[in-house]
Amino acid sequence: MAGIIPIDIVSHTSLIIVYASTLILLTIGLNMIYSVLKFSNFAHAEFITFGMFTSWWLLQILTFALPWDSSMYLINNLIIQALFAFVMVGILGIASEVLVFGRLKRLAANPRSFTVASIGIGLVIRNFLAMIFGNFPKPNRGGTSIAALPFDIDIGIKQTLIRNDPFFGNQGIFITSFEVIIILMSIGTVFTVDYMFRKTKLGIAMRATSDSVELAQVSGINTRKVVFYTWFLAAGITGFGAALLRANQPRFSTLDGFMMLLPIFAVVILGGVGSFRGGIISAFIIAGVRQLTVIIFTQFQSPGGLEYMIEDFFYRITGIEGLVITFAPGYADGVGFLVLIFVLLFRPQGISGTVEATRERV
Amino acid sequence: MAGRILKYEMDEKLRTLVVGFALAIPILYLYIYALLAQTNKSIFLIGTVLAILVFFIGALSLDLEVGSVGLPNFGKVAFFALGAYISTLLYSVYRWPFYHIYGIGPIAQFLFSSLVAIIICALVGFLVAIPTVKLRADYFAIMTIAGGEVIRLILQYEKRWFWAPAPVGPPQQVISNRAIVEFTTGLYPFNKTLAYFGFTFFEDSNLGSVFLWQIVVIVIFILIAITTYWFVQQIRKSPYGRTLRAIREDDITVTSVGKDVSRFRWQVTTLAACIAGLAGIMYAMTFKAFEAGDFRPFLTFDLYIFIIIGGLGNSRGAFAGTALVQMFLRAAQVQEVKENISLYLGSESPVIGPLFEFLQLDVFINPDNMRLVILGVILILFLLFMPAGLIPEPKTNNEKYLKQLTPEERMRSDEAVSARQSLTERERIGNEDTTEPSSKF
Repeated sequence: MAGIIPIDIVSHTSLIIVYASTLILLTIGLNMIYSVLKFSNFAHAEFITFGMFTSWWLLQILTFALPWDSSMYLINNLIIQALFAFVMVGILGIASEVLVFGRLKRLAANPRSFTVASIGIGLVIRNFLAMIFGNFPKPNRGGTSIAALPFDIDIGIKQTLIRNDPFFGNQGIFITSFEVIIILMSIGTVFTVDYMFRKTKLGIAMRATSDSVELAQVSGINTRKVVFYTWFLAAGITGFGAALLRANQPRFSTLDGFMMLLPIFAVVILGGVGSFRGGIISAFIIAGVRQLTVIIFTQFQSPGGLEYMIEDFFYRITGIEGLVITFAPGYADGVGFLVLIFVLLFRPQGISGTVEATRERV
Repeated sequence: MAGRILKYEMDEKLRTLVVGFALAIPILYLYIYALLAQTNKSIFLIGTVLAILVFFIGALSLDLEVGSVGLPNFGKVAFFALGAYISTLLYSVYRWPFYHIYGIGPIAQFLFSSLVAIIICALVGFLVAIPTVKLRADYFAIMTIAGGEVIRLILQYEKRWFWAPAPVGPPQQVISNRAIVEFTTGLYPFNKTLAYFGFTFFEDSNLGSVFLWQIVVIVIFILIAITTYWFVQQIRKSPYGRTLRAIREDDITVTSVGKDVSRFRWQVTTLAACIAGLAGIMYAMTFKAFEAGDFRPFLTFDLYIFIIIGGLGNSRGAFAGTALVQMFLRAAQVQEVKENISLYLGSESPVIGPLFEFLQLDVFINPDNMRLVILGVILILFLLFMPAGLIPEPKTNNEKYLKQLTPEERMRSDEAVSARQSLTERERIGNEDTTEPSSKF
């Protein structure tokens, strides 16, 4: 029996934290590229797809090449797969800089060309992956593809905390081991990147380049090298996150990265493009809005919910039967964007306020 | 001096010709190969022509925004979807009073539904434009993608309004266009083949039979395309179009001479939304059955490929790009072409088998994905090496007077124009890293 609170708050909160951690892992790279190179990389979505597929591919190769009994933990090690994805996607990032973006910058192309070029790169990567690995969604669970750390995969927390309470109803927590890893790795990445930006020479050089290329060069920073390091790290972190995200999904396909494009950009724009800490806050906001939309819309759709009330009201006034407005949980991504549009109307520079979203002086 | 002038005269036209032929000859070869493999060749030809015309209108609409005023709209597909959905649903679900007028009823209903669809597109375009036109280019791009996706979600989930009501059972998500079926295939003169009227060219040359209504639809589409082309050209040539180009190049200067830049931007966005809605209506007539899943952002990306290959800010370029890419895409879909091009690389290949077995790869190089990889590579190559496209935008409006100048004078005037353009571009970029300090960071 449900109590006064009909919703499983604990479980939903854990889902929000998991989704926010995923978003943080996937948007750090986008923010780094924006703050150093000053353009929005739409191919970032395909970097995610590439990370998913390369990590899965390593699993296939290792399963084939090594005996399962003696080296099971090596084959089935999520962290090794994620590091492989880190390196591969990092190389992909450097390749895209060398082949396309660097040349475009030397041509002094306008920002529109960068946007369209990144979309072209995305098209190439997505369809190349579909050509190599096939168009159909890959099953992820089952067989050898249960990728986990070298301990029991049932470490995920699955228990009901409160059952049949008159006030709280049913409350439980359901997190898989992969989600625990995602949360831990997300926290770890955030602190590592923060430390790198504040304390290491490379991070300071990146921030200097991000502020002003000329001044950085005058102080003896090799900005070209900084650009390459930025691409490698940014794309690599994305690939790392994508490998973890892949392990948590029942199946994955070449379109998965593209489906993440809108939430990722919502997080980046809401946080203020190029702002690291704003991105973390806005990841939680976007994840929360998304999860709340799913909860509320599911409630609206249940019998006696708002959807039926509106339908009834409409029928009484006009005499026409049928649904008027649908509250489909599929609207979740769209609602996140409506929030974003309203935020941009009143605070165009985002949460952190580092970047002006409007055109200068117009 | 004479050599330089000759080189200048030759340069752009020659490059356009060389690149144009390098693209067009393989595509034409592939297309003719695909055409010859068809059993009913005329249907394949007509389908290609219709698709080219539909996407040409869409490309014109996008080019008006991207090429003329410099707004990178990535939500164009939403207006395609709205035009297609609203015109079809209004025609087939609601019976307006004048539907029962003898003879012209259905056609009047169809025209009225289309008109309503275009007006709604304009309204939605205006509403989308208000909060977004002031945003920076990349923010504008992502906001328009998001707007398009929101509209697609609404079309997908609002069953009552945007799903096709079935005579029995729940509404259907796939919407089929009854208009074209009703007043073309059913009516007396339209439902006959051309051979019925004594015109046996298609049958004689073994192309399969063509119905009169197919010819009528093509003629109507060509008329619409020509009208839209003329309209867009008039805008481009007018003082209004000149202001738009000035906004694209340098909006601060335009503001400083007293123009309301935002107003120009939303006006163009609304107008382009109308044209895209028109293209959506034609889309519904051409492809007959569609659903919300067909209107993903990839369709907008296709339009970008058309206009960038063809040439930004240029209606002829939009047509050239659309025709080339559509012929390529259509030809690569044909089964015979697929069978001949498909290639298997995997553990059972003769020489490289062991390597692919070690890498655990079974690769089928299939044209479905290969054509998009090729398109993406062509797009990037164009951006890098021919940013102006196949047919570059004319640098001036007064071609007529320029023809009266001597080649030397033309060269000087063009050099002056390009010098000024490169100056503004350098100012816009600001930070070129031309020098490379050797020390480490």
